[in-house]
Amino acid sequence: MQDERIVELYWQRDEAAIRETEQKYGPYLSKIAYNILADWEDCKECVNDTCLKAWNSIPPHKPQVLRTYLGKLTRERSIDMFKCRNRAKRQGSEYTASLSELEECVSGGDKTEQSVDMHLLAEAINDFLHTLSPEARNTFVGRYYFMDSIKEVAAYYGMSESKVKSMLHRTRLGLKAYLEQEGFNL
Amino acid sequence: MKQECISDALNMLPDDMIEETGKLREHPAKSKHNSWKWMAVAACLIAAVYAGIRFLLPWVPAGGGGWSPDNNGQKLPILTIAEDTSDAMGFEGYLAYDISELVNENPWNETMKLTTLPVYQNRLTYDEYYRVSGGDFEAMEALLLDIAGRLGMNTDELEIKDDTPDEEQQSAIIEKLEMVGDDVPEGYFAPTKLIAESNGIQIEVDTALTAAITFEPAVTLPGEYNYTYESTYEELEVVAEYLKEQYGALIGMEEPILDIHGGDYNIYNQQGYELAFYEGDGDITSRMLNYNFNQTIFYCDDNGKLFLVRVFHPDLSDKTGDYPAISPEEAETLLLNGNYITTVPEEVPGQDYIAGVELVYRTGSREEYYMPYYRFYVELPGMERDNGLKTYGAYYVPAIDGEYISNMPVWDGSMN
Repeated sequence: MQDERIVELYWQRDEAAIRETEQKYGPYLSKIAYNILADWEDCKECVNDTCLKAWNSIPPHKPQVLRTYLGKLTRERSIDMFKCRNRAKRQGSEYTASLSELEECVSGGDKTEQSVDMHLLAEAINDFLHTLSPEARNTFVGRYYFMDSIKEVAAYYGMSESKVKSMLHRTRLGLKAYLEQEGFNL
Repeated sequence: MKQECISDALNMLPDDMIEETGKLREHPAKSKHNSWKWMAVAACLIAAVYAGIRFLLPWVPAGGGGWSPDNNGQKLPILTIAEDTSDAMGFEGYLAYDISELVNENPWNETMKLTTLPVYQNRLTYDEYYRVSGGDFEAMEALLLDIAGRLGMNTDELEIKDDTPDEEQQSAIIEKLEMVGDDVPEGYFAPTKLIAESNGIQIEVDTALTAAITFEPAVTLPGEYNYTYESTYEELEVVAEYLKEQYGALIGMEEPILDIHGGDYNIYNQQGYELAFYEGDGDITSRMLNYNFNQTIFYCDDNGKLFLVRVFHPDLSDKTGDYPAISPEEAETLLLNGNYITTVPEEVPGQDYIAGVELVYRTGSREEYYMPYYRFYVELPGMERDNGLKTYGAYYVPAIDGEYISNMPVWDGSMN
């Protein structure tokens, strides 16, 4: 079913919207959730929560790109679930690995909670990513937004895993320099 | 600042940037890293095999390989299995308490001794942007009019449109592509479907020759029929009799065989089935082809109403040949050797976990050839849920002799 029709079903409060969403995007959303949670049961719960959140937010929202809208809901929910877990259950997740890599983007000094304007930060990251080649940008988004494994990211362009790692490393350092230049306290 | 802030901020990236990467995830490039090494190995093997064949079979042409003789000396093209034909992410797994709960009316069974099986070329091809070519719009229109006639529509007055985006939609798409630095590829807005509508019934036919018939409003069945997402097998048997009577013309079969398939559970522990018919007239090969390719499937909504029917009728006019078949036992050996295609993120855990097998055709629109496979249902012990629901992963082994396959699959941990 086309996305426009599915969104229409949400607006009509027709529960077929949820079924169509699960059928069309269940696997896509499961992959995002699994990359973060590394547990199929939690992953299914997360996708279920996504459908509920979509039901409660459409209307008034009318997503332009339904897949991305749902993907963001799933990603956010998965990360929230992850944070509530105990230490033992955090192992084996690509999210954990990606966070340890992103440490390179922050100074490592002051780790206290700071107030960060997330919209400004997102805008700065977006501006930085637009300065990159498509390869570097998609590799970064694939690793740190979708949290695909290094192997999966390498498959995007048929690159070696070592090339992906070095590309990500350069991008992380570039992002750090850019954020400092923009006045962010890292 | 903590690194979590950066990760969280990525959730606010613009949709077009995420979609740009999303497309790559769906259609990754082939590995460039290993291709030269394996091409060199393959070249040596081909040269060795060709040299051997020249001594045994003097009628092999000077140009060399590309096909192989069958047992009757007929020439059969060597087939290539497309690497990624899955239409979505995720994996094919079935939740059930026991394998016996998974049911269908596949005419094949393990006692059959089939020596050959037909293979067909898929006439549709897809480019890197997932745009299809090879669609036969005359055949699509003919199918649409045929379906319309079966539904009692006046085909002389039927207006048929296609799904070409209007100017406003085209401008919006062009703008989005330009934002990410892309040009609009040639033929990007070419139509892929034909659509007609009359008195609340919409018929949509796509290039794969699948007709989707939508009823608006949905059709209410008489009160004694329980036709919902949670209907039992027995309830659907009763519904099927009603649908066969009411929509016999639409089904259009000499001997319709009822195929209530499914029986797996969803995450809410609800067991579900799908209701379909296929033509039972003809020999076993005809029945197998009709079961796999030419079904008519009925869909209900949660209010117990019929809202959609799909009629599948892909183009099988391009037959590649009748290929020597392997037995289920031979296929099991290949399975345990890692020669399979799967979307399951785990390798086969062992012979003890093989729960069942059936012969099917993979009918995905991006298959290069429509060819038969043994689908093995393998219990995945690490995915059993607390309530006892097991997950059975689907693993596919080509059902034709590997001599006719240029790239026998070898599982490497990636999901196909």
